[in-house]
Amino acid sequence: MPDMGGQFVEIDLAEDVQDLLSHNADIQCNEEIKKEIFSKKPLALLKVTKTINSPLSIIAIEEVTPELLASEV
Amino acid sequence: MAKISFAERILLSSTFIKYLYTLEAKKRAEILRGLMYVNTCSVQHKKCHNVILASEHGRLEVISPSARDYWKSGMRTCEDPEFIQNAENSEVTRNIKYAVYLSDEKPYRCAILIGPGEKNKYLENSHYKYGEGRELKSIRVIEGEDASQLIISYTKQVWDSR
Repeated sequence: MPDMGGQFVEIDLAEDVQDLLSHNADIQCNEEIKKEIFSKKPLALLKVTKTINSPLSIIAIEEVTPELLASEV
Repeated sequence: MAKISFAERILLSSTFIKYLYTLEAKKRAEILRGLMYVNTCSVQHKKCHNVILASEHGRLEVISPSARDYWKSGMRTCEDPEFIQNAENSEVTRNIKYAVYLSDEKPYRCAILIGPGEKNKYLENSHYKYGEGRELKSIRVIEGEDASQLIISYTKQVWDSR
């Protein structure tokens, strides 16, 4: 089992996450999450949960909609 | 890529964020979402266009643990540098001096966002108003709703770039 420590959350534009997936040859992300990321509009804000073990992994995403944000903050 | 050269760097104060917590959640979320867009789309200071001093951040007990990741995305917390740590024990002075420090880099201007009713404290501060009738030109102090409108106008710039 990989060590799942070093988990952190970042909020990024979907286009930046798409760019990361397209250009970082090491990043790990399952096909389902990858498909979801590429289905988002470029300016969608995504809450991206990553682990920073080697290599970097994206383990979950959630779109930060106005409604979600209003309920969380 | 949405990359915008915003006219001013943003320095947030605890009083502005506390003010946002007096508003409806929907409005607060709109402003925070705007801050996130500014931070992610800034061509000059990506992810750190909007900053807050650690000493100011320490006053933000209004931010719940579940909201921290969102705020972290909307503003970067910067440790108080030495040149303000021993300054007068005044958050107004610290914010002004830090804004001056931020104006040393592009876009060479900084807006300090503060809560309503705080503006005179800044405008009358000796670091803002210096010498005979002279005041800082690269720093703007914007309070309450006007500060919210600045963020909304910056957000509009992001959407208009498409």
